[in-house]
Amino acid sequence: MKLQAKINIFVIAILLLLAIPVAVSGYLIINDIVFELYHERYASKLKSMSYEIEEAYETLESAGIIELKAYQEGAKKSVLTKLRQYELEESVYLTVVDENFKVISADGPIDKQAPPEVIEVVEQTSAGEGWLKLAGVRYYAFFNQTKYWDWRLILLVDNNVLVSKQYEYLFQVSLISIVVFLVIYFISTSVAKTYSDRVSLIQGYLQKMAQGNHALRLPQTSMHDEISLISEEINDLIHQIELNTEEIESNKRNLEKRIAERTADLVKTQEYLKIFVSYAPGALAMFDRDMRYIVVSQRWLKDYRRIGADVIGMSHYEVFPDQPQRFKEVHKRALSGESIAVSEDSFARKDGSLQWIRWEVHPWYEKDGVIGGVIIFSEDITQIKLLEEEKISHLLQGKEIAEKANETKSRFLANMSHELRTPMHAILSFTNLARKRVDDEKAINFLEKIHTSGVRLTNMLNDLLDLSKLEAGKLVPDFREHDFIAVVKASIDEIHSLLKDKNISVRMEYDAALPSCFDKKLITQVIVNILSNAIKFSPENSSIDISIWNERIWETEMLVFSVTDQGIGIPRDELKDVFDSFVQSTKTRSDSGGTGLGLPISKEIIELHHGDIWAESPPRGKVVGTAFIFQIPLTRNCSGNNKP
Amino acid sequence: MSGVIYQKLLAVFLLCGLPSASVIAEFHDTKKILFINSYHAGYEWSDGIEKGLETGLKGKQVELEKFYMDTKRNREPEAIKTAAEMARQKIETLKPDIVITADDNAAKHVIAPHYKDSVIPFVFTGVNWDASVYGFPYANVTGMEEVSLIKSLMDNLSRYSRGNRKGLISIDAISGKRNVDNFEKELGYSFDKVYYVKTFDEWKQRYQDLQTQVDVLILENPKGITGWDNDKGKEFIEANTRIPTGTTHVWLAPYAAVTIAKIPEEQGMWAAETAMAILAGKTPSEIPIVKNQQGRLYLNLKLGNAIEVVFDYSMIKNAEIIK
Repeated sequence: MKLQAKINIFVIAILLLLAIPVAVSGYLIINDIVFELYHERYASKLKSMSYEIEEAYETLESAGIIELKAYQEGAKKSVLTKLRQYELEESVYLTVVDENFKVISADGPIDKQAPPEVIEVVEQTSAGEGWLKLAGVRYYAFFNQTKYWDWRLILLVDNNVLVSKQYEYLFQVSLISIVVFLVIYFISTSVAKTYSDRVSLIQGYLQKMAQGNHALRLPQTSMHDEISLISEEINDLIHQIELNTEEIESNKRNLEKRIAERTADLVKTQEYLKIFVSYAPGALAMFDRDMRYIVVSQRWLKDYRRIGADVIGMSHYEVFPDQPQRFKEVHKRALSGESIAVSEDSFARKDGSLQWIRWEVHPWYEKDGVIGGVIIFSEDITQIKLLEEEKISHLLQGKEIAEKANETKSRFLANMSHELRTPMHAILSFTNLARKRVDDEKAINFLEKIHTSGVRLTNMLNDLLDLSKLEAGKLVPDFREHDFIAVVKASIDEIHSLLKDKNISVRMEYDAALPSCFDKKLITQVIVNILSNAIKFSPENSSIDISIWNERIWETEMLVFSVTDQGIGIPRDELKDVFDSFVQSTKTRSDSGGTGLGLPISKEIIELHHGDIWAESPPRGKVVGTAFIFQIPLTRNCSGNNKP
Repeated sequence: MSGVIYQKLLAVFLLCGLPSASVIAEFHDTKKILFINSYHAGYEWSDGIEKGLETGLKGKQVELEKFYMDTKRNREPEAIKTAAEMARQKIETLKPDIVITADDNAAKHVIAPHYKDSVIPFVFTGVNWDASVYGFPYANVTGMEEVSLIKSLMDNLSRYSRGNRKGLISIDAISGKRNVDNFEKELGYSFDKVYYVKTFDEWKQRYQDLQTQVDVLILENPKGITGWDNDKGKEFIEANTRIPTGTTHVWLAPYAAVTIAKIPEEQGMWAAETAMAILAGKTPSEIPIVKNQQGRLYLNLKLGNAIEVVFDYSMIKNAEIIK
């Protein structure tokens, strides 16, 4: 059923449902209303008439002529005339009677004397109204007695008037109800039809649009209601769909163009890839899951003696039927997702020679993450291998020669030092003796210079001897547990005279006592060497800072010793070289007077203790000076493996 | 009945649907009205006009300014001239939207010499008998003339008279004679017998004569009659009246059986109504000069009884009774 028909039925049903109670209650109410209206009207008229009489009387009274009969009669006559002029409906009659019910003014069924029916009602009914019957006609009587002149006013209303008025009102109400009913019905159906037609129109348009006719637009009306809004929204939506469709078409065309471009690019790329792989300098082959060739390089075919063969699509095992089992296993592992690389591998060629290769096997994956096959890369390193073996052989020979030469040198140095020290002792001893026996100033001076040079030469020889021993590995440290702080303090005492000469103070800070295993003599040598250098390059009246602490580096607890001076410093690029033999800083070389062996010896000693030594210039957080720092493992138990 | 219902419905629709354009358009701002009284505040007649004017303008969006020329107490020509000049200055200063005048002096000395056909509209009231003596109407002037209600009085008296002969007694002075002339000239009403008297005795004599010479007697203003005595006059009349007597002067009501006096409020009410019409857009020339019509009835019952007249209840009901 259509919407409009439903609405029509609904409206009729509602109106009918309303009409029945309205009609019934309307009838009852109208009856009451008509009676009430008549009651109000005639009771009110009767009251007005009484007022007229009262007014006339009181007017004469106030004029002082109430006693004058002529004026009374004139007034009564005037009043009666006025009462007769009252507008009364047809079949409504006014009768005025005196106290004896003698008619003064009559209209209607009463003539000269009021009949008993009237007298009975008037005298016995206190309400001022009541039903009575005269000559077969039923009347409703309204009556009252005037305040002056003892008149009674009686209004008789023919019952037929009341009934006819009831019907008249009922007819009017019914007529109005029907008109209202029809108006409501026509308005409702008209409105419903309007909306139904508009909805149908929208539906029709939508069907046409659904069939693809997007050029259609819903017609707009001047009405601004929900349907108009829906129409506007639909039109907007269609417009948007059109725009979107155009955009989609445009995007589609662009996409197709791009796909074509990309496809061409891909084909080109594949070609490039084939060419690239084909001419790759390594042996390269790509296989599917069944180990069939997909792409292969020329180098592969060359390395594996298959030049000219068309292996694409063929199984690797068809191409190489005598493939060793271990390679097949490798392929399986790679197809399971494992990447395998071997830097050196060999196998015997058919001619019995050994071929060295480096190979890698990797799985490759499809877009969905599934393994698509394997890629095998191999490189023939047979030539490289042969060259390496030859080179190693030469290096080993060189090393052996060098070691022998070094050993010879160390032995020579040790022997030479020893041989030189004996005559040097003789020179120094006899120089001392000569000084004591000679009085000549000049001779003494010469002897002292010989002695000083001899001492320096002896020191140099000692250093050389130590160094050679260390390099030759002949110096065996004597690891014992010592208090490192006490060792440092003793070392300071050893160089006390040097400090005093330049008025240099030493500031020392350290952790609590740090007992450790080290060779006291060697470590003392290192500390004295570092301190001597510091004093040597510090200006007079300056200070030297010594810091000792322990520190955990990785898993090892280290004892760290640092000496910081306020000297001229060492250029940064020379910091490493100062630990090389016979090397001195360019800044200190001219006036140091050293052999250049102290720091190399210190380095050897510290390394003998499995420690490190280095220099910082300027030290961290300072602008001048140099810091020499060494660290050795802090080992408290000197037995067994606990040695540094 | 149904017709009445439909008429009521129509009226309701009209009332609801048509907001009164005339009410909306009537005034957009307060209009100024200048009232120029020829006399002074406290003078009964012109006070009545003023009262009627105020009643007629009550609730209207107007501002009423009053100016009293006071020419009743200052009758000298110079005083009147000065008062007229002051009234003119008042008009020029106030620049009213309309001017309403009361009585002859304002019309004669202010409107006529200064404002003939001017832009300011004027409404005169209380001009005795004939305003044309001042050249009215002008294009900007209209008003209400003040005439005697003699005809209405005679109509009432004739109900109680035995014949149609009409007589009148008045002072032998210009004013008295002018009134009689005006009755004839303006109202077309003539008398069968007219006596002009100068003394009280002469008046009494002529009054007695007229009791037999005419059937109805009109009393004109006796003030100015030499030897006039109110009480004696009253006694004389009560003792010597045999025919219906009447007057149009309210102060003569105790001396006549029937009095129909002019009502000054009528002049004021009409002036207010006319002024509002002019302010609403009408021109004075569209509104004709009119004459007063309303009167106040006084019945002297003593005299009525003396001449054995029983007044109609309808007259008694609407009259002021003089006992």
